[in-house]
Amino acid sequence: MDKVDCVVVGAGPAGSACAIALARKGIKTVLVERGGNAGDKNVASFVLFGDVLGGIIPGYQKEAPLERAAGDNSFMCLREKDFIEFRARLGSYFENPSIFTAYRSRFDRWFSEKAEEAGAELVRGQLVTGLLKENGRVVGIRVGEDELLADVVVGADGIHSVVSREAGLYVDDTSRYMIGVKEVLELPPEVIEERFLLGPGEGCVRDGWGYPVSDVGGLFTIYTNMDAVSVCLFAPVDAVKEARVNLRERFEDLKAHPYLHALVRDSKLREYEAHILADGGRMKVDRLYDDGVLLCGEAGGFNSGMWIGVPSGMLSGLKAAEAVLRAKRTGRYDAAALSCYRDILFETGLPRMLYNAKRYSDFIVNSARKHMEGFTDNLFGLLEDSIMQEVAFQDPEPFPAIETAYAGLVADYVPAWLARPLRALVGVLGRLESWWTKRRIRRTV
Amino acid sequence: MADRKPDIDEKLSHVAFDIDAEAHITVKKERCGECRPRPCLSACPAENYTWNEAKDELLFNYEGCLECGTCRFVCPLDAIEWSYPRGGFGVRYRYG
Repeated sequence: MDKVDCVVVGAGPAGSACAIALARKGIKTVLVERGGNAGDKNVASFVLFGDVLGGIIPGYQKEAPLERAAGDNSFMCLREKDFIEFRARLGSYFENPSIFTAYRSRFDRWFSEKAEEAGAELVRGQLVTGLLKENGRVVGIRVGEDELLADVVVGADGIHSVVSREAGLYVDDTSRYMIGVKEVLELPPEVIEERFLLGPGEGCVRDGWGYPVSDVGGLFTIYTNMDAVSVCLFAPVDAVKEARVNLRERFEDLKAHPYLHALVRDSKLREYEAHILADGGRMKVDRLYDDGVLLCGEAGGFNSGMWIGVPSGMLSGLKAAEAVLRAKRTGRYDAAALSCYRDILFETGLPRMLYNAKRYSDFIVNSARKHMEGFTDNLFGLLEDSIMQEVAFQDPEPFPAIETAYAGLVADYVPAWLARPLRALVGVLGRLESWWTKRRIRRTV
Repeated sequence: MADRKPDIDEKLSHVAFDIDAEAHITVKKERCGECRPRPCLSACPAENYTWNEAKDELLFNYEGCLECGTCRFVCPLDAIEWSYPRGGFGVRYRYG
């Protein structure tokens, strides 16, 4: 039977990064991909952060199949007929960009070819169906009837990882799973630039919450490719199960919203896509390795949340490669030797980053789920009052900014024990504000 | 919320598939009769699960599967067995 040093399962960003790092060090590596080409099975839901990639392929900006640099980003909140948007444009960013939109089918294919160039053997169109074991130790992979022996197997086979299940490392926690439905909508580049207020070749990402998924804590994102706009809508898998949320119908609602309609009207559907991701990750450091096997990428739960899985995936792939190299020096690939993976990960700060991302995601998604409707209403109420100047024209009293901000944005989130003293403090501050404003009016008008 | 029914067949006509003769989804249909919520019907983004009222049974087609795997997590009776299709088969995203 054939034997190699390392088999990497899955030629996504994590698997290819791992294979590149290993092959460059002269490790005999086979990279196995179930798609006819790498990227065939993958769906982007956000942008690509180039920092990690730049460390692997310097000057990638010139050769990678990227769409637009994303330096014009906004966050928004929708109600059925309304929207509020906060937009930030980083003008200087466009001069030296490192965040891009890209199509995964093209990007992953290009990146897997880099692994081939580095000397790894890329096997396409083969699904790894099981692991070969000897005394409980992983010694290779099974592809249907075929078998391939390896010193170590790296599982980079995605959210539905076969390797993690077969190795007994699967973390059964679907609480962070989000289902995303996406459409790639074709529009001429000039029309995209006009509608999204962009310069030639510039790109943007627009994230939002609220309608039509406010009841389940769903989120959406819109980003620009060169001649198409990608629209993704997400909802927690639990909500889809328990509340029987129909994401297909919600997607139509989203596209019909005035905000979206103005951006994507008269576009042509290029592709309809769906994928699950673990928002904020579900990485557990002691469930990433065992005798003869390592996990990286989404298979190991490396998804840094808010849909940004590619850089943390790549980084985990590089670190898995480092662990394999360190284990090779000892000549052993058992769990004890591979446990250096854990230390290497901690050195990079990746676990802390994932932990923070998880907390960030908890804050955004869970508080969105719990408070989204109330918060949205309060925010709209506050802005309606000021935008429509109802307060200025109808109320002879000075506008109570402190009281309004407290009632609208803070009061709902204050723990019960703190509500009374804080309420009293706000009352005092409010009276002070009123007195101060009246005094200023008397002195200036 | 307005009543907007997506035309799923139209949507799927924009997706490339290399269809395998072998199904990668199996359903223990005898369990579906007692399932009341039937979340698979609304959950599948490709609307691959439908209920046949006349026959009173679940119909599914694996050919239009987008391979998100949502069905394996939403089935309350563990009746859906979903796995990756054989290598080289199934959905082939041209953009992704």
